[in-house]
Amino acid sequence: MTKPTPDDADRIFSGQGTGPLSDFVREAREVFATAPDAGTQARHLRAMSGEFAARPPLPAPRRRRLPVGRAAAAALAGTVLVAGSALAATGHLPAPAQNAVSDAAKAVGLTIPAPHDNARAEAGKARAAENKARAKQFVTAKKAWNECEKQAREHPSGPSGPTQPSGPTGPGACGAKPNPHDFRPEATPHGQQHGQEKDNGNHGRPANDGNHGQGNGQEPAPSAPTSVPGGNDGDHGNGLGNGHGNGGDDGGGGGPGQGRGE
Amino acid sequence: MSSRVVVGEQFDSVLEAARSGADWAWKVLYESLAPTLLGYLRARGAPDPEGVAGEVFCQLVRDIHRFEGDEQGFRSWVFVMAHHRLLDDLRRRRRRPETPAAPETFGDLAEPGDVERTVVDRRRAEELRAVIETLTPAQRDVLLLRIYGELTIEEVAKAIGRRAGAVKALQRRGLEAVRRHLDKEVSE
Repeated sequence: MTKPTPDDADRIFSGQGTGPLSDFVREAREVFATAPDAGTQARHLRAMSGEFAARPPLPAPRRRRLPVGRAAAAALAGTVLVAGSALAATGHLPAPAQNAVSDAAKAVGLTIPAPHDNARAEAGKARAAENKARAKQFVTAKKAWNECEKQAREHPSGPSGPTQPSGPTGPGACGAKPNPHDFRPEATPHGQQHGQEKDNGNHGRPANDGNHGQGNGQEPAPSAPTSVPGGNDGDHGNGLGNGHGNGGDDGGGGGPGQGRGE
Repeated sequence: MSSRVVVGEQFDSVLEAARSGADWAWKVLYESLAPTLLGYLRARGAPDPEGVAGEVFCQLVRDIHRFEGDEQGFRSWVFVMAHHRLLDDLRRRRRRPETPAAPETFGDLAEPGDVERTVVDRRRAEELRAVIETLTPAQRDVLLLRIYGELTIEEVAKAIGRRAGAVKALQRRGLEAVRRHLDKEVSE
């Protein structure tokens, strides 16, 4: 007895072979594979029709819809994120939001300005600009007064000075000496005055007028006209220093002796 | 010689019509499949082959929209379904045992006119069943799916969850067992 090869098997099952195995396959088909009787067939077909009728509706083929809503939401979220980050980085968010972002960023090691930092810096800048402008006014006025006084002394009845069209006629003819207090900004809260110390115009410079105690009718020191507002008036420093800081009480700390040479 | 009825070139249009619920298409598919399907179930020893076949055709109706392929693929798909339905039925019956009569017992009730033929067919059926029962269940699955479903080795492997090589071995050993049994009958 030889073993059936795969080719033999294919021939046997296709019904084309010869021999006892092929006969067995043919016979098995003839005996068992018979059509159902008419009653069974009718029953089966009725069941199939009923099954089809009772079958739930087929799901509609899924169309691939464009995710417009999702895309729009993602775009909006992206815009908000980018804009929010930019605003936060430049400190332009509303104070509570800026605070929250700053605190959160701090936790992960990033530095985002807090709203109060920004506001203080802005206020400081504004005050500095104001002080500078006032100092300029004061220097101009003082310079003009000094010139006038000088001319008045040199020509008691001479040419007109800058402050009086007809010319000064003697000491005191140039009017009141410019008072730094008149150029001093309005009082500010104590906490802010501290911040202005840097903005008084002569921070870090020596008070170079040295005319401490002047204003008594003596000629100002030569350096006085070129002095900076921080310390050139000889009264109380530059008087612009807002009460704290500029050391202006005594002419700016660095220069009392310089101006006494006269 | 094959006992199956082939739909042939019309298969695609028949399948499409069946999907849309055309009764004539269901009938064509049923007539092309029912004899071999029942043959497989009977040869496999199903206690109620007509009942299982009815379940298979109903499942076919439910799932036909999922099928894609040609007529041979469709036949294979239906036989895989029938194989699983039969296993379910046998499992269910093992849990609730009963002693059904063999299907051929009722052959004479279906066609009472030809008593002689009925007796011959019954005897042949018993002889064939005796041969089939010498096979292991796995050999039986392989040979009967090959005989009635005309499934390829790969399709049988897929149906019974084994590799093609294992199916070939089962087929070879099954055919050898059948031949031994037939030789033994001849010698007796």
